Amino acid sequence: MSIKTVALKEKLGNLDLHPAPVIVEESTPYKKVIDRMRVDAIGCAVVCRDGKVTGIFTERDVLNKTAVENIPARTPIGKLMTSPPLTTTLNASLGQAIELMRSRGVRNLPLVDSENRPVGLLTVGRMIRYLADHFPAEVVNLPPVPDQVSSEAEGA
Amino acid sequence: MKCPDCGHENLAGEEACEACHTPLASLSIPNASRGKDQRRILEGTVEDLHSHDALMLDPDRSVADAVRLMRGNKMGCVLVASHGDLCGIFTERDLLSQVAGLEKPEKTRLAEVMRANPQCLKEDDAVALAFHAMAVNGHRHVPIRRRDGTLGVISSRDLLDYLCR
Repeated sequence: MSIKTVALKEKLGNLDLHPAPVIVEESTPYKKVIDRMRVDAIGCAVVCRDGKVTGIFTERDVLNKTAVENIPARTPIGKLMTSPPLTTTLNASLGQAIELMRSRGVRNLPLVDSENRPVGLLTVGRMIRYLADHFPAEVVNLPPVPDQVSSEAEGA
Repeated sequence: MKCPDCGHENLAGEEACEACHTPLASLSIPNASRGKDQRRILEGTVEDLHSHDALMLDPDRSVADAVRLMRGNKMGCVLVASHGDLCGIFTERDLLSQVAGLEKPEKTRLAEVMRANPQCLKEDDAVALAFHAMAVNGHRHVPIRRRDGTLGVISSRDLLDYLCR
């Protein structure tokens, strides 16, 4: 079965996606958002107003808008986010999500329910790991250093 | 047991195809029917991932220089090299984890915030090694030493494109 076939069939709802993306309100201060992204080691925060997704703030926004600008720590994230964000639902297949991310050039895709509330987050990194799970022998069981050869026989 | 290469119908348990001598042992292992993708991962090379020309900076240059260069070229990372030798990599992830909110990005040297001595792959390494670096080690960008000696970089998106092509 090809990767594409597997991916196209799998519904996002069946995958173990990032369970708790960083979710903040538009009024949350910039510094607080950055701190939460750091603690969770995740490159993206989903921004909401009254619990409904209105924007997204990613590493790319840090690079393009805030890295060298001396943004005051208390600036509401609503002023810095990218809006409206591209989103999809749990009913979409992984194949559809991959196509959406490739065609629109995004790395983070928030998942929302029928009322636009955040329920998950799909990232390129997560997808790479998902695909690696299908090929554990080929991908995971590799020496950490290419061309690694033992200098002596094992047990010698 | 059908040979994946020539289609010849062999007796179950044959080690090699009777008609074309392709090894068939792996077909007896469950899930080995993913043959084509397996080959793409094991036998495809990093060259097939089409590395991009890397942005390069000296370790003494500032974080602000790196940010301007990355913005101008719409790239998520710069390679840090001293006299042509790769000594580090600086990515958007480092920008978020170490730099955002810093008072003085103009005065912070790349050498202080880069990830030092990143693993560098060659163009004829297997795709599996790039896959490993990204899926297991969690790197989104991997430097590539090309045959002509120049440095390139591949991103997880390039790998995803290759796997889904």
